[in-house]
Amino acid sequence: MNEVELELVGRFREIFNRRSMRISVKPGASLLEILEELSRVANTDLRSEFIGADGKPMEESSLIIVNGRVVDLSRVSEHRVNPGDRIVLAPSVAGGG
Amino acid sequence: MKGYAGKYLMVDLTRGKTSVGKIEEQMALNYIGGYGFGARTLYDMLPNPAQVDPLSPENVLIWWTGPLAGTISTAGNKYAVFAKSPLTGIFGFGISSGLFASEFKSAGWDGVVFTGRSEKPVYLMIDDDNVELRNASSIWGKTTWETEEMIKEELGDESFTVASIGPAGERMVRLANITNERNRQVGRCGLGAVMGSKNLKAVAVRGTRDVEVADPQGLVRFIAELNERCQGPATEKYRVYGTPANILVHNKLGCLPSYNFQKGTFEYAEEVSGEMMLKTHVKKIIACAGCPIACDHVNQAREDYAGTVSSVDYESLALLGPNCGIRSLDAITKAVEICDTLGVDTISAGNVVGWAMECFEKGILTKEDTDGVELRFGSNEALLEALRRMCLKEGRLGKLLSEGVRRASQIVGKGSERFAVHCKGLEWAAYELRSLQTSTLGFAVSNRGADYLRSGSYQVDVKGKVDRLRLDKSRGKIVYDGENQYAVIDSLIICKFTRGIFQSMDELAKLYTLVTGLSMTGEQIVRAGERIHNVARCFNVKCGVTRKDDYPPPRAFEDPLPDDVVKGAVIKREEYEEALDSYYECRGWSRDGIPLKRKLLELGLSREAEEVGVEA
Repeated sequence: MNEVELELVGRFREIFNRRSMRISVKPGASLLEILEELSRVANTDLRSEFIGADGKPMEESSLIIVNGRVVDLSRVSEHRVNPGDRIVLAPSVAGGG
Repeated sequence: MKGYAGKYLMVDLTRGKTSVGKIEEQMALNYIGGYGFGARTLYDMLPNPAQVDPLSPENVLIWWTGPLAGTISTAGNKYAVFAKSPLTGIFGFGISSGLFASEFKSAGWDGVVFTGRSEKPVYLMIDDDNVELRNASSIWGKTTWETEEMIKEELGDESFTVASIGPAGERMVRLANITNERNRQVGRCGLGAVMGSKNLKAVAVRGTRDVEVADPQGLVRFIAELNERCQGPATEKYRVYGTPANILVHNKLGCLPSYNFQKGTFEYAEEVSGEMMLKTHVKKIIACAGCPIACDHVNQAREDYAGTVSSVDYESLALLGPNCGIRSLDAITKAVEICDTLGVDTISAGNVVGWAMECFEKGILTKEDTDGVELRFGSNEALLEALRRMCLKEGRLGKLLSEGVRRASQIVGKGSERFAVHCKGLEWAAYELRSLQTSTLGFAVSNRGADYLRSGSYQVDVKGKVDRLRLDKSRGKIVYDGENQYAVIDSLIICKFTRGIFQSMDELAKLYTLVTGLSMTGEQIVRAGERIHNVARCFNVKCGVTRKDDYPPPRAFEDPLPDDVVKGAVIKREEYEEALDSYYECRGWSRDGIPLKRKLLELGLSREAEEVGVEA
């Protein structure tokens, strides 16, 4: 079963109007490919939530957690997703006023 | 020089006299304002701090704004208060926002320094040049909210802003804070208790003057750009959910402290999440003066606590919620209201009550010790009753908790010190110890004690830049750089929520120059940050701080996290030692954490070099 568990936090909940979902992934798919697939599902440019127009990772804005580990957003195109992975899309940690 | 008022007020509370001090240009360039001015003046005014009882008339209480206060600068209206802390016994420091700093600067003052102790309760009124110590006997005993209203009524003008202490500060509760405009606090280090020890109930200020800036047109252009950036993605999280957005993110990362830091996740996180809060409890979102972000989420409680209103941020939510096993947003809203009105820091309060709950559940504290309170995790009634008694120093439980977690655990003993989660006596904020290890190093070496606001070192952990479940020698440089930059931010003083909109330290220097007219580069301003940090450290060294004080609590090393997502995470002592060594090396301090003479001299701190510095 080539599925991953997707958990959604903050504005990503609003985009998909749900807390979590399961999605099928192609073997060896990258996180970036998954974001692009999700963009089609939600009819929104999800990539732009993580990667700026200048190609720079938007770490002040968003984060991706895979199996409890934070993914360096500059590596989303290299990070391979495996069936059974738990992926969280979340706003970045905020604090320290 | 512009931006600064150029003068500060000195108030001798013992004699009831006031005088005026001047701010020289060199002071401005070397120490910027805020944190920098506080470090400089506290070091100078308490030459032998180890000999000073923080709650005695010999302690000083110092308030500073920064050069940006009262200008149009983005989120730049903050003030800071300093004293030797009665909670930690070292450099005490807190920052608050709102309108107070803007009003203060507009009255023509950069700061105020209180010495001595008034015989009777007083409050200080500043109305431009007219300053007066007024009788506060009729407001002594009132809550912070009542105090604000009564003073405004007495002075006959709603436009006065008031910063005051509540009954906790009057009783010298070591966690007592200072509150302005109901929901903004100088929260940490028990500085409200220092006010109480001086019989100083409040400072009320009204300012009617313009604050002049050096390059008005240039400043307008730059601020317009910064304000535009503030509407971008870097600050969206603050605007929509506010900092409570962290609850679910931290929970997913296993770094949400729960049950007194026994765990890094909370099974009821959804129920106390920012997402839930926005839907069910938030009634109003407000901004501080000059802030285009507006992060302050004001809650209204329902059901059992109907009518309760309080401003709930992430730290308050996490520590009074999950850290005490509490899953009710209504109870948390009520808990924050108790802390804000009676006047204690929500972070320290949630931490010390969490500790007491663990003691109770382990049989270390009994119902006899708690005056009958069934102090169990998850009990709303127990939390609220413990807080109320703590603020009023009522009974055995209230007196114990009012001491803060370090002293309370020393009083109780029986191994409870092992799970008192603090550093240098300051209660740990809501960032887990073992699952954000760069953050933990930053907390532990901080000048203020366990401090989430002095280096932002959690950022590398949560951005995936390092392995957050380990430490190594690269982390010292991260904390060092963060501390120097944050010292600048806290000296200007700007809100850290805007840090993502500045593209470099050069931009902060540019802002400084546009406002003050004083030439400043990014490199120079970072150097000022390093200087400021070292002066505060030298104050602490005089108080007895050395390497032994720069460690997280035992739980970080001894109790692996049980949560699935970070199972087994614990700090390895040898890794911590290596990271700490690397930090001292970057700082130019000895292996024992004492600044080297040559480093202090390099920063222009010749007196500190002579009094504190050691040879390599």
